[in-house]
Amino acid sequence: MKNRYFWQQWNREVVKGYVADLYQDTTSSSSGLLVVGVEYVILTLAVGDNFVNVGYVSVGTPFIATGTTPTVWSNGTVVVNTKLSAPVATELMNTTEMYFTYSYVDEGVYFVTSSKDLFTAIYGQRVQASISNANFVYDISGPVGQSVTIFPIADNVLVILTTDLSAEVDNVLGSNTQNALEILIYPQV
Amino acid sequence: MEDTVLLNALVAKLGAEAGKAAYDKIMAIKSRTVK
Repeated sequence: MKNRYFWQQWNREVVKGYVADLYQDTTSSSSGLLVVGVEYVILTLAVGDNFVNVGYVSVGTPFIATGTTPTVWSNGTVVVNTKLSAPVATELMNTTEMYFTYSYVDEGVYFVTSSKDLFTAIYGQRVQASISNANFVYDISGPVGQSVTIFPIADNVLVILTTDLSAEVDNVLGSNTQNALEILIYPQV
Repeated sequence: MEDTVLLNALVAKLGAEAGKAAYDKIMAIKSRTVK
């Protein structure tokens, strides 16, 4: 009901928009100490390493470090700091009256979460989202470059996938070119 | 082949049902965007 009220009040004859330049750079380590209270994720657990004593549950599942020193961390397991690895948005424009947060999910997979249920039409709004400047070149060795894909997976969640054309990879957004996310919201007809 | 890492990550963020639905959608998109 709260969302319905928001949209009823908000839905006037004006196009509203959000534009932000995105940058993503993964912060990870394969040795050292963890910081208690910080969220990490392990995407591949090296054979022999053991992080259960610091809160690890399973690959892909984020965990809050409960200790600094894993039982065994000598086999190269990469631990990703999820907060520092999330895309960073430099907001260029936002007339939507809502805010957007970014989070790290998996290599090359990120969430954009809106503060209202934006990516559904049940309140009458129409939404168009686009991201600029994915690119590739084809040379004698084959195609190289990056692709960036966005699509909604929940009422308030948009997914960004970044690939090097063969697999999802990190460090694509904003690295070789600017990637601007644009969300336009059109009023009810 | 199931991508356990991605599935676990999505279930952790969205819950079991929504996470699995998101996983299926992402895998469908990935099959078209990654060769």
